[in-house]
Amino acid sequence: MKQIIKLSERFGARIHIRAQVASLAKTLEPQNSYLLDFSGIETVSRSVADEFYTLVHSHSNIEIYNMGDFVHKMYDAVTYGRFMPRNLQYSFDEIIVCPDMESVRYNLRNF
Amino acid sequence: MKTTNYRRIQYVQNLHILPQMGKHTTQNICVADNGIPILGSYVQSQLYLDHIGDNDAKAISLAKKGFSTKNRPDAENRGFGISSNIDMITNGLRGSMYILSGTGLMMCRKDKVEILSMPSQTEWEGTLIFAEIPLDTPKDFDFYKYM
Repeated sequence: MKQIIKLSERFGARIHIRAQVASLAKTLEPQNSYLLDFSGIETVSRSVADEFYTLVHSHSNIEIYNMGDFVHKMYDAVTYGRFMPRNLQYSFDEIIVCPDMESVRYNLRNF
Repeated sequence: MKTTNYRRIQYVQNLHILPQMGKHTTQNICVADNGIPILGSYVQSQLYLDHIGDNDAKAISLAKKGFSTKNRPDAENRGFGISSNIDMITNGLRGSMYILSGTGLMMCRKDKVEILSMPSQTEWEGTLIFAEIPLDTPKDFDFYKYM
């Protein structure tokens, strides 16, 4: 029997902080099964979607459902990112060294 | 920059968020903390220090390119904040963004990026981010493209 957790009752309509998901995760028992109900959740931040992805994929007994359009798209973006490692190369933009305040002012004026 | 309707909407420990309207054509948002600068974050995680040294401006430059202190070995999905926000605000929304961290200052708009390494009297002990976002959103702007 899966226990349904209605996220909007716990967090309101918006979840934007990783720590909120971490606090939820602490309350979940590994021997139980859960359904995370996203109905009523209007927005989540990318970082929160990332935390939910980690939560769901590190526990086989946790499932999610009832995601709205926005939340679903954010979750999809995170899922996509997991399979697209970045190809970063070290390079720096040109750095303008300002030895004094006059040179700072000059560069600010001319930007 | 002239501003109106200035008020602080949130104060959480050492984080300030300041929204304001600028000349009725932009929404300006300033987020500032007095924590460790971006360089301090790299030092704390002991990442990329061979490339950055103790230079705040180089640290900002590296963060702009997406080098995160939260990297995963297989796939990267954290630490998107700075690089994706700069991309969204400057290229997507045609706005501008300024990051002051330690003695480094980055100024970005769609067609121009400048990074200054400034004298010590300008040092901000933390990170201050200022975004100037036009109220007229480009018709082709797609929020999800920058996620």
